[in-house]
Parts: sequence; structure tokens; C-alpha cells
Amino acid sequence: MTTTVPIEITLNGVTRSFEVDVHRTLYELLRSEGLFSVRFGSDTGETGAAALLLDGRLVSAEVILAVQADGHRIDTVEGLSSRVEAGELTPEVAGLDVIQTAFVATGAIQSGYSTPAMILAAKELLGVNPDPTEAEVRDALSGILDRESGYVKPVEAVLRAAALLRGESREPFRPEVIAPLTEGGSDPGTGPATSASAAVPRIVLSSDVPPTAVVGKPELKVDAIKLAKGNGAFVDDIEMRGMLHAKVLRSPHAHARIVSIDDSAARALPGVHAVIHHENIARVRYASGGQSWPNPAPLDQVSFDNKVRHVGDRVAAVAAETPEIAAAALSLIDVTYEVLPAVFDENEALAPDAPVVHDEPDLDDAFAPSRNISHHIEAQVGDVEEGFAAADRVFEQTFRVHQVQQCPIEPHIAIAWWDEDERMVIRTSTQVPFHVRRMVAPLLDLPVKRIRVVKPRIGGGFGAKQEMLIEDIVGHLVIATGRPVKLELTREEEFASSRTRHPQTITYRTGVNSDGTLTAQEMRVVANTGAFGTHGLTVQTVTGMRGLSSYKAGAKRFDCDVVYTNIPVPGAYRGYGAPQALFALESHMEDIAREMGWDPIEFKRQNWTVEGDVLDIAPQLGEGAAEVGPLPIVTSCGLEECVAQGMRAIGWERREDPAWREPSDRPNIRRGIGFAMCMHGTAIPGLDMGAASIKINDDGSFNVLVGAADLGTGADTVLAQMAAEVLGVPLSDIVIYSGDTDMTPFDVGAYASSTTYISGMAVKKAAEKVWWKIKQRAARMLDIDMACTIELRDRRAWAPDGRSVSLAEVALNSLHTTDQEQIMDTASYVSTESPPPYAGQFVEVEVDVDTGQVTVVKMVMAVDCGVAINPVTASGQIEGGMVQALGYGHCEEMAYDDEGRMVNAAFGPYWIYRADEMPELEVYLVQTMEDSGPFGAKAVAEIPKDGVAPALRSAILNATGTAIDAIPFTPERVWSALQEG
Amino acid sequence: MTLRLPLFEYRTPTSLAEAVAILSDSDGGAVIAGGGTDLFPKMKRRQTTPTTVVSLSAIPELSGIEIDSEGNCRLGASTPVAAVAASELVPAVVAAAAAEIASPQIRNTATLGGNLCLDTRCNYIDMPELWREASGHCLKDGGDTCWVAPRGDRCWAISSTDLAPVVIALNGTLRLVGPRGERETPAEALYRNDGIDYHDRSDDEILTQVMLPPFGGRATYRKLRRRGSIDFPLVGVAAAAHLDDRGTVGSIRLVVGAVASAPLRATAAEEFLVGRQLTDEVIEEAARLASHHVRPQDNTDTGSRYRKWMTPVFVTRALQDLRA
Ligand SMILES: Cc1cc2nc3c(=O)[nH]c(=O)nc-3n(C[C@H](O)[C@H](O)[C@H](O)COP(=O)(O)OP(=O)(O)OC[C@H]3O[C@@H](n4cnc5c(N)ncnc54)[C@H](O)[C@@H]3O)c2cc1C
Ligand code: FES
Repeated sequence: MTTTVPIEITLNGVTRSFEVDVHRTLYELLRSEGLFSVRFGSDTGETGAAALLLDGRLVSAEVILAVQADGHRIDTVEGLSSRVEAGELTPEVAGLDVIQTAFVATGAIQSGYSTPAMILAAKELLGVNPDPTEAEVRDALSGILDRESGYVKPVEAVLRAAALLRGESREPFRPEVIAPLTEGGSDPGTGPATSASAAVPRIVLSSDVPPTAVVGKPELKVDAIKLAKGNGAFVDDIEMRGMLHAKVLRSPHAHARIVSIDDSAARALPGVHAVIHHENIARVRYASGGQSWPNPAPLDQVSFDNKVRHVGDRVAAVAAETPEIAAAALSLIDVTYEVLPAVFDENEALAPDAPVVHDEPDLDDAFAPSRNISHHIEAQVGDVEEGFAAADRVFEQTFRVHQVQQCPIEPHIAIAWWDEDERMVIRTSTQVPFHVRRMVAPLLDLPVKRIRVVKPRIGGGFGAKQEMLIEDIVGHLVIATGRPVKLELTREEEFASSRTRHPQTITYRTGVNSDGTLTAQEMRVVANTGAFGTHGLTVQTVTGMRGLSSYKAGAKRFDCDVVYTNIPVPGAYRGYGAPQALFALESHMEDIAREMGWDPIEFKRQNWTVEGDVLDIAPQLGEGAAEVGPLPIVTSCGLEECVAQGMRAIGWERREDPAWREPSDRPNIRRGIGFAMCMHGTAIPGLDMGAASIKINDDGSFNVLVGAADLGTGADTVLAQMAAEVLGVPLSDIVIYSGDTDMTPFDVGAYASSTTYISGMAVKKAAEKVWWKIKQRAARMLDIDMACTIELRDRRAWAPDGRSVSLAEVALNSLHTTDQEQIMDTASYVSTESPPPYAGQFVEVEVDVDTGQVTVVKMVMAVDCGVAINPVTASGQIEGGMVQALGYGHCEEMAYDDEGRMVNAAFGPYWIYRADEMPELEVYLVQTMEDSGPFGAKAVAEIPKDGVAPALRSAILNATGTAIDAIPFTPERVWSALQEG
Repeated sequence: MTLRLPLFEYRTPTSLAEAVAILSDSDGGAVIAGGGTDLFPKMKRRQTTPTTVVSLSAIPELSGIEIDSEGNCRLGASTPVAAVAASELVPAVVAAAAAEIASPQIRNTATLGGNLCLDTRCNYIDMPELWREASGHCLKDGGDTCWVAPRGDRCWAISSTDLAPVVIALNGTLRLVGPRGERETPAEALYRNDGIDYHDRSDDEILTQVMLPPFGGRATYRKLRRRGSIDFPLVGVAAAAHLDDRGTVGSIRLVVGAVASAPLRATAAEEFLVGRQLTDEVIEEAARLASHHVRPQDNTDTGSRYRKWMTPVFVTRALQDLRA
């Protein structure tokens, strides 16, 4: 049969001939031609990441054969822009077309992984419709899943590009300053605060914040240009000669012993270079969570075990010359399983006769493995039983939260090879390059110094990549074959074999006095940590911390069992235990208020933790062991202003209007508005450390080297902004490089909302040291005694008398002429504090009482993140986070059959929000000055995950009178609850 | 990582006769590809591994939409779903239903013929190969049990095409070409309520054209899905009726999709409705009649109970649309 055919394609304007295998998709052809903007998202095209224009129409390269393109025109993002070959490269002079420029200008690019697809969708739309409505733009983008931006800014970018292409002008994209409503501000009016587009963040300024030049400004992202162009910036965007393709054999059983494994047929297959499994890989115990040394126990994983504990668990891996051969080799590995009874529910796993998930004899650091308990956590302040006895009323309520997946559009991917020094280089999509290096070393039997981990741009992580998840496998295969090896997970593996959010059963007991004070609050949690205990301890301590710190109570108690089961493994997911806690806590508090006949916000306000309050349970719920340290005190809190802004923006008063709640013209519709308060942490105190090095170049520009791992959040940009602020240069004079264990100083990585606060402080300190060295040299050059009187601004060092030297002159002087030295310094930072950001989350819904379908109409979030170093990227974090949180509360759910096999391991049956079904989003940034943070900053990354689910429940309750104690609020669940009344 | 397609031969016949010849010579090893948006993912998951894929894209007469001299709307099977959605020649209800299918990228590639011939779907058959093997292959997968209803002897996979209920409601006719020549069949007669043998069509027969007779009445399509878009229907109700000036139903065709292995005509409800006005009470009774024999199985991740209860709700909404 003929399997190879000649085809001719006009590719970005150039006619090209190819010989293609007929079973190759266009995706495979274009990537092998170096058109890296066409990216993998899924096999069926639902993510839209592999978009291209075929004769001007947007299609997915995943589901089109290369031969089908014969005779057609194909355009990709690479064809839209040009390289700037001389002079400065700035957003203004970047060789971008109008649509690309608009994406850069509006902050529409986060990780940039799906940006090329969106730009092409816009190109198709604007080609036929120069003046689209917002709905038309959303429809055009609806086939491209974005896990990052909430679509707010991409939609704005397309509308802006359309206007510019029509010849209209547009104001620069800037935040809108809003007057405060509390503390001397005006009365909380009811009208909208501004008529600006909802994509623009609203800022409430604080007079405590000193003026700045670069920090606090909506600077364009430093990596936006390359991402808009679709330049090869991700792990997969390199070509390695002789690279092998890895695939992993996954367990089809939820719980089984591997009786025998016969790999002879697989090894014999031509093109197969290695087959690894528990019989030929050393048994070294580890915990995969990317956390500081020493990793929290239990060390309950090994690279390959003789037992499998969930569907999707590792059995073996192969490296072969092509992915096809690798797949064929997997099917030739003959594994005999002894299938064991499995347990999936955390409460059933505690039963005396439950199957034991971890019965291996070498596991000695789990709490009670024979009872499936990996950790047991207790914390107590005061005596809760006394508190309950003294209370006027005691309320007890149980909630259940489910399992969801992070769903980065770029799945886990790593490419590893031996370099010329016979050191192992691992280029991987990770949030924790330094932890990966340290953790993978013993598994590979290599010293840390023989490993280099490089994190290029990564296409989203959200915690799933705070793991050493696949790097050991590629490392083992490189050792076994001597060749470069690539492993990229399939979408199914990303669901079933990566990491997820911990399901929990949460029971609250709260003692309340008739004056509204809380005498005691107790939280009992049974958490499902699946097959392994990775992050099992620390996610749950965050649950306890957030669940018992948000309100003041006379006494508090946390009791938690973290339980092994046979579900795919939970781990870190943005929010890290807090979304679970806050769903239960906020719902419980609202129900108490209703029961007592109190206004829910008033009741919460009476008890919530604000500035000056002590976080009394915090020292017992730190990472690792229960260390008792000094009691932290809240030093900044903008919650009141957040609530006031949010109430106005959502139109809170409509909540009490029966005519609004039951619109007479739509008999099956009920409307409602809900609220939740959120309080989070900023970094892990006493543990999270970040470092930065800064050096000056001949032209007065600076290299900033940071260990921090930008995963699309804009970390590189805000860190560069801080350096620029201190050094008195524009952002374009900072060249930032991050996340490479050979080239940058250490950083724990991107998690625990720590980068801006911890790594930011390290950058600030390093910049201040460099600043001082520059001032000393400038003083000498200007012949001034007191270096401290020199000021740095506008790329120059200024003497008090008005004379100045340029930083380029300082650099040339120091590098070439006088008393030569490299002006350079390094600083580290670790914080003893974890100042809480606060937020008010508001949600408006329509519930169809005939079907149970909930339509979320609008979400408003007003956040106090201290000083937002970049208001545009901060608002992008909030928008994207809120939408992930909406998925958690509303529609996302990992569903299984009775054998523990996931039945919806694909987008489509696993629902993530698309551009055309989004509620309206509005973001307020309420400034406070957090003195412990760099330039007043607190964290913003995780708090948007916390409030949506409880606010959604509150809105459904307002609309229908029905309170539901489990998420997600699928039509089926809501409908069933409505039937029960 | 993208799953790779298995090896196959790819043919792009330029005439129907050639296409039919390839299909009938292949002994069942060849499959037809429209846009491939359903076929290629299934091949990637090794649910089907044809020796030959026969693309219809180079057969010019299969593409396009026109109104013939008798006022029939004729749609070529290779017409992209996006073109159907954008067409002003097709009845509005057809365009609207087409616009609700999948996503823009998929609609640009997917074809009308592929949609009408869409394979039936089920949680089990859509799992990765290894998991299917570990469960024991199900009936549709060459095994001997349907995991949805293990005691029965049939496959309950669901018909999920959005356009078939609409085409049936509009009394469409399909033209098929095979080795024994050409035949026309009412759209309704193509579908069988069997997850495996879901078509009354041999493997070497090609759907070439859809013909919709002129329609002056009112029609609607109501689709329940878990959320706004991209989703396959959980329940889809198509209705097309002629009402007189006083709102009395002269004739009606009512079709329920996505609750069985074929779109189901609700004939009892249709008979009840003829001669009646669409009052709330009449609609309620019709919804009951249309739903009482509907028994969705537990083969999506949404419970069957919910889908059963939603059927009358969506029939009601469709009938209310006709009244409006
Ligand atoms: C993410 C996603 C979402 C989807 N959502 C929906 C949805 O909401 N509603 C919906 O209805 N569908 C949906 N689909 C399914 C599918 O994409 C569409 O039904 C599409 O219209 C199929 O057309 P196609 O041309 O791509 O079919 P193909 O994949 O080419 O073919 C489908 C089947 O029909 C056969 N076939 C194709 N053309 C002919 C012909 N002319 N004669 C005989 N047999 C033929 C093929 O052999 C194959 O078995 C979705 C698919 C995906 C991947
Ligand atoms: S899909 Fe497997 S028997 Fe029906």
C-alpha cells in the first residue's frame, strides 16, 4: 500500500513540497518543519492550541491529515510578524502585526501557549467582519481553551485590534482609578464606578503608598513579544539529534500487584532502545511533591513499584525511535496482575476491613498505613468543648468537596540528554526547577552537581507542575540509552496520571452566642490523598489554617486524617487546600446567620480577622512539623473597602428584591446574588527562600538572574519591574532570565503565592546592593565624597549639584577603565511573615428551576493584594483564577466508573469554561501598604481560587432558597436538590 | 503528547463511482472520512483501525447547498457544518442546530455527512485502549458484554448527532450511493436503535445528499447540555409543525435525540397533538407521551435519571417554541 505521498502546500506564503506519510496529521508535519506555534493540547482538537488557518479558515491541525492540506494555503502566526534585525526591540518596534500588538498591549498574554491560536482566530474573524460585537469575538475564540486569562483581555485585544484596523484610535490600556468608599470616601452609591471596559482593572489607591516610576505601572510583559510571535520558547520547541520518544505503560487497574512482567517482546521490537520497570530500576523511596528539603514524609513512592495503586499509575516505560514504536512496544509488555479490591472514597478507606493501599514493608514514615492514614494532623487553641458548652447555639454541618484537575493546556513534558560534560540536562515544564534537581538526583544515582534543570516558558502549571512528576523517567531512560529522550503526557495521562485537587469531607462545629460572637470553632477533615501522600500533609494544614483563621473564635480545633485511596493522585493545585476550606467555612457561616436571622455579611464582619488580629492557630499549622513560634499579627487589611466596592459593583441591594429574583416574564428563572470573603497567605514563613543576582552590562543595561519560575503569571515582568525601579532605568533595560539551576541562584519555585513577595524582595535587595555600588562609582566619577547623595533615575546617576553620568558610562568605567570590577550582587530573602491578602467575591446567577442549570451572569472580585506591582498582570491573575474557581464550583468534576477508571478524561466531557459562555468579570484592586513586602506587595495568585464556590452557593441559595452542601453545582445536582425542596 | 494515528492507506477518489469501488473492494477494511473530526480521534484511540481511509473531499458534486426547481433544499454530504450554519438557503432551524455543534474550529472541518453518520458514543468505548482491554472489551469493541447494561445482549451507545433529529423532523430524504447503485430513503429510516448497527446502511454505501422538502411551518431544536457549548447533546428535541390560524396543529413531527442509539420519533405525542391547540395542558400531556418510553442508560457522565427527567422539560420547551 502507498503510505507516502507528495503534497504541495503554500505555507505562510511560500509554496513548499513535502513527502508525507498519509497517517501523519498536519500537527506533526508543521512541528517537524519548526512551526512551533502550532501546539499540542489534546487529540481531538478541543483545546484549539493546534490552530492554523487553512485557506483562511481556522482549523485544528490535530484532526487534519497532512495530505488533506495538499493544494491548500496554510497560515500560522509565524507568518504574521517579522524579525527586528537592528536597533532596539520594544513592543512598539517588534515587527508585530496589529492583532499581535493588541494582544501585547492589553495584557492578554499569560503563558502564551494558546496565544497564537487566539491571534489566528482573530485574524479569521476580522478578515470577514471588521466590526465585530463582543459576542462575535467570544464566539470566534470559543474553540480555544484558555486556563489562564478568563478570556477577558484576549476579547479586549481582539476588539481593540478591530478598532485599530478600522482606522480608529484607542486610548492606551491603563487601569482606572476609583474613589474609595470607606474611610472618608463617599457613600457607597449604587451606580457603576466607571464606564471603562470591564477588562480594565479598577484601582482604589491608598495614600500610604509612596510614588514610584516603574513599579505599580501597567508595564507590558517582558516575554509578550516572543509569545505573540509564536517563537519556539517551550520545552518541546527544540530539535535534538537522535532524540528518542518515551511512553509510559499505565496501570489499567485501580489496585493490583504485578505478579510478573515480561518485556522480551518489547525489547526485541526494532527501534526500541530501553524498557524500564521495577525489575531493572533501583528502588529508591521518595515523595514527589516539589517542596523544600527535607521533603515532608511519607516517602511512599518509588520510580517503579511491584504494585499499582490507581488507574494510570506507572508500570513501565520505553524509549524508542518514534512515538509509534514506543506505543507498539508498550502493547508488547506482558504484565500479569493480581487484581486487588480497591477503595475510592476517603471515608470508606477508614473502615476496618478496607483494602490497604500501602502495605509495602519499607514504608515506615506514614502515620498508620494499615488503616490507610498517611498523616494525622491536630491543632488546638483554647478548649473547644468548653466553648461549645458555653455557647447559646452550636451548629454542626458537613460538606463534601470533589476532585478536579489543574488542566494546564501544555501537559507535563520533559526532554533530557547527556551534555558534552556528561552531565544530565533536563529541560522540563516545571514550577520547581531547583527542587526537581535535588529530588531527582538520588533516583538517578547522580550527584546534584551532575544535573542541570532548565525551565523554559511553560504553558501553565497551577500546581500540577509543583512536582517531580516525569523527570525521573526521562532521566532513567537517558541513562539506559545514552540518547536524548522526550516524554510528553497525553491528555488522558494529564488527567489520570498527573496531579489533582484533594477531595475532602469537612465537618464544622461552631458555637455562637446570641450577640453574634463565636465561642468555639472546630473543623474535622477527612482528606483523600489518593494513591500517594504527596502534598497530603501541607495541603491539609493549609485547609486547617484558612478554615480556622478567617474568623475569630474563643477556641479552635483542627483534626484531620489524610487518607490513602485508589484514586489518581491529588497534589498541589492553586489555592492549596484553601478553596476546600473556604467553601465549607463561608457556607457554614452564611447558614448560621440565616438560621439566627442575621444579615450574613454583618455576622461575618463581626467575626472576621482584620488588621491587628492575631493568627493564633498559625504556628501549629506551618509546613512540616508543628513548630510553635511567635504569633503572627495581621498588619494590613483592605477587606472593608473590598466588600464595599464589590457590593456596589454587583448591585447587592437587588438581592432583597423579590421582583428581581423572580422575573415575571421568565417563569422558570430565579435570580440571586452571593458573597464570600476570602483571606489567604503569602508564602510559607520561615521556609520559602528566593534569590536573585544582578549585573550591569556595557550599555548600562542589567541582567537579572532569578531562580523563580515564571509559569505564565508574569513573575519575570514584576521582578524586572522591581529591579528597574531601584536602578532608575526603564523596564526595557532589564534582561531577565529565570529558572535554570546552572545559571541562576536558588529559588524554591512558583508556589504558595510566594514569588512576588519572596523572590521580589530578593530582587529588591540585590538591586539595592548594585545600586549602592553604582552610586559609589558614580560619586568617584563625579568627584563627590558622599555617595549617598547620588540619585539614580532616567538611566543616569545624578549628583546633588545637577551633574550626572549615564549608567553606560558607569558600566564602561567599571568594566574597562578604572579599578575594574563587575558591578554585580546577589541577595536572598526568606520571610518570617505571611501577610494575608483579602478579597470580597461576589457572584450573580440565574437558575433554571426546571433543569437545574445555573448560569453565572457576573462575577466581581475586589482584592487587597497590598500594592499590585503590575495592575494589569495582577488583574489577569484574578480573572483567570476566578474562572478556574468557577469551574471548581460549577462544572468541573473527575468522574469514574466502578473500577476507578475516569470516564471523562478529555475536554468536552470534562468541562472547562470557554470564551462564549463566560460571565461578565470585574476586578477591583484595593491598595494597602504591606510594610513587610517589596514596595508594599502581598500575594495575588491564589486568593482568586477561594471565594467563587461559596459565593455561587450563596447566590443559588438566594435565588432558590435551596442550600447545597457539595460541589460542583451541576444541573443534575441542583435539580435534584430543588426536587427535595 | 499527541496520540499517533495507526497506519492506513489514504485515498481521495475524484468520483463517486471510484469511491464506491474502493469501498466495495476493501472487504470492509475501508472507511469513509468526511472531515474526520469524529473518525480520527477514534482511530487515535484505536477504537477502529481501518486499512484504508477514503476521503470524499475531492468529489466535487458532494459539496454545496442549493434549492432545486421544486423548492427542495439539497445539501451535499461534504458540505462543512460551518457552511450549513452560515447558509441562508437552509431552514433556519437547521442552521441553528449546526451552529450548536462542537466549536468553530471543528465546525470548519466537520461535514454534514459525517454528522449524520456520526458513530454512537458511550463512556466505555471512549476510554483509552488499555483500560478497555482491562475491563474486558465491550460488545461494540468486539467483546461480549455491554458494561452499561451487562445483563442485556445489546449495545446501548448513544446517537449524539445534533442534525439527525432536525433532518428527521423536517421529513428529510437521504440519497445513498453504493455498489448496487443509488437509493433514496427517508432520513428516519437510516437510524436503528442499536449501538453497534446504528445505521441501515452497508459499509460501502456513501451518503451523498440530504434533501429537505420545502417547509412553511414552524420548527425548533432544543439541546440540553451540561454547559453552554462544545458539548454533545444530553437530550436534543427537534419539532416541526404546521399550525393553522387558530394555532391548531395540522401536522407535526417530533424527534428526541441523544437518549437512545437512534433519534426517536415521538409518534404517540405527534398523534395526540394533531387537531389540538398547544395549550399548557396539551403540551404537558404531549411531553409525557413523548418521554415515557425514553430510557436513557448510564453511559454519559451525567446520570440517566436526570436525562430522563429532562426529556419532558425539553419537549415542553420545543412545543412552547412552536406556539410562540
Ligand atoms: C470536541 C468535540 C465536540 C463535538 N461536539 C459535537 C456536538 O455538539 N454535536 C454533534 O452532533 N457532534 C459533535 N461532535 C462530533 C463530530 O465532530 C461532528 O458530529 C461532525 O459533524 C462529524 O463530521 P465529520 O465530517 O468530521 O465526520 P467524520 O469523522 O469524517 O465521520 C464520522 C463518521 O461518519 C462516517 N461518514 C462520514 N461521511 C460519510 C458519508 N458521506 N457517508 C457515509 N458515512 C460517512 C465516517 O466513516 C465516520 O464513521 C464533536 C466532536 C468533538 C471532537
Ligand atoms: S459501547 Fe460498548 S457495548 Fe456499547
